[in-house]
Amino acid sequence: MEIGVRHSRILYLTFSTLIGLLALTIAGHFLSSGRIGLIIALVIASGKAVLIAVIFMDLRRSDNVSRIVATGGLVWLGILLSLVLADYQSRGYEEVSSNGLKEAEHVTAYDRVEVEE
Amino acid sequence: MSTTATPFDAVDEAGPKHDRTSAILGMWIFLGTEVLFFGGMFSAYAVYRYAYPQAFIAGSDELNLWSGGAMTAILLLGSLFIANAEGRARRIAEVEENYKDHDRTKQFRNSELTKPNGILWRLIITAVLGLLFLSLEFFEYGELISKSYFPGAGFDFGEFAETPLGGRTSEMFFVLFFCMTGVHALHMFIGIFLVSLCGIWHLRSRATSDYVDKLINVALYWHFVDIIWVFLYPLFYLVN
Repeated sequence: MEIGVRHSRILYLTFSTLIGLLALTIAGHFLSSGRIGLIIALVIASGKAVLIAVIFMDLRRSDNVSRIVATGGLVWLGILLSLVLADYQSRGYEEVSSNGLKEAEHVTAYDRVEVEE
Repeated sequence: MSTTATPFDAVDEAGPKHDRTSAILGMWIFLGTEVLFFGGMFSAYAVYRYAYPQAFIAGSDELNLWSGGAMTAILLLGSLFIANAEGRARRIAEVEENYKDHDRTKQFRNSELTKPNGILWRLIITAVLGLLFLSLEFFEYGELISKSYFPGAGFDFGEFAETPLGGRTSEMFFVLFFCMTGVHALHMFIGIFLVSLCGIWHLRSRATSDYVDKLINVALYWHFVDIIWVFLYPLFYLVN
């Protein structure tokens, strides 16, 4: 009696997909740059994470409470990252009387350093 | 004498399955806190990369992209082996639990349910792959330290020393690199230790169901550490 042949096959298939995605990540690094490159890399990494969580960590067969906790972890992380980034993205502006924002003058001293090539 | 059924009876009847579900839920809650633990560091990364994009490109150029790729592949392979061991153990334990009132020896004779059932060598390979990952990581640390890229008084980023902050922005890249990959390496050490413990439990136990809950949780932990690296790799090695 061979135990779990089908289960093993799914695992091997997942592993092959993960290695394929790794190759895609490296190819994406050479073929794209800047913000697009970062987005592609993060989207592929998220895909890999989902595969690992659903197949390797067996979330597909877990009970609903475990799934809620796993999703909760991601939601908390999302709140943390989005609020921190919203804070940094919106710095350097100040309110004006006519309902709006304008770029603050003091932001010229903002410590953003670009290394010239 | 009459007996009254209580909710506890239902829990007792659920037996090992109930214990397993609770153990897995507990591990997921722990992993939820780990997400936040690493989340703080990922936030710091986002803030500094937003502030110093060029410094991150310069820092990333000093890392070995191919070594990082190989480390990712090694971790994924380790995940495959431990997932296979855990799946095998889980199915064997379920059969054992279903047949617990019968003569186990007769049921399992000449079947793959008896040892050796392939669990032990899968655990050994997982631990060895973990050690290989750490060897590559520490080799890279050694190279970076020998080039004076370790953050601190001795940090020297060569050509960038003349830039406005004297290469200090790139130093921030290496602060994050050493902190985040270092904490990840610490998790790997713990993971290797736990996988080795699973091997010992496997050798000492008479039935797989005696230790399967622990193995499932160790496998969950291992996969989680794998997921963290899946994000660390593009964020540090593939900046352009």
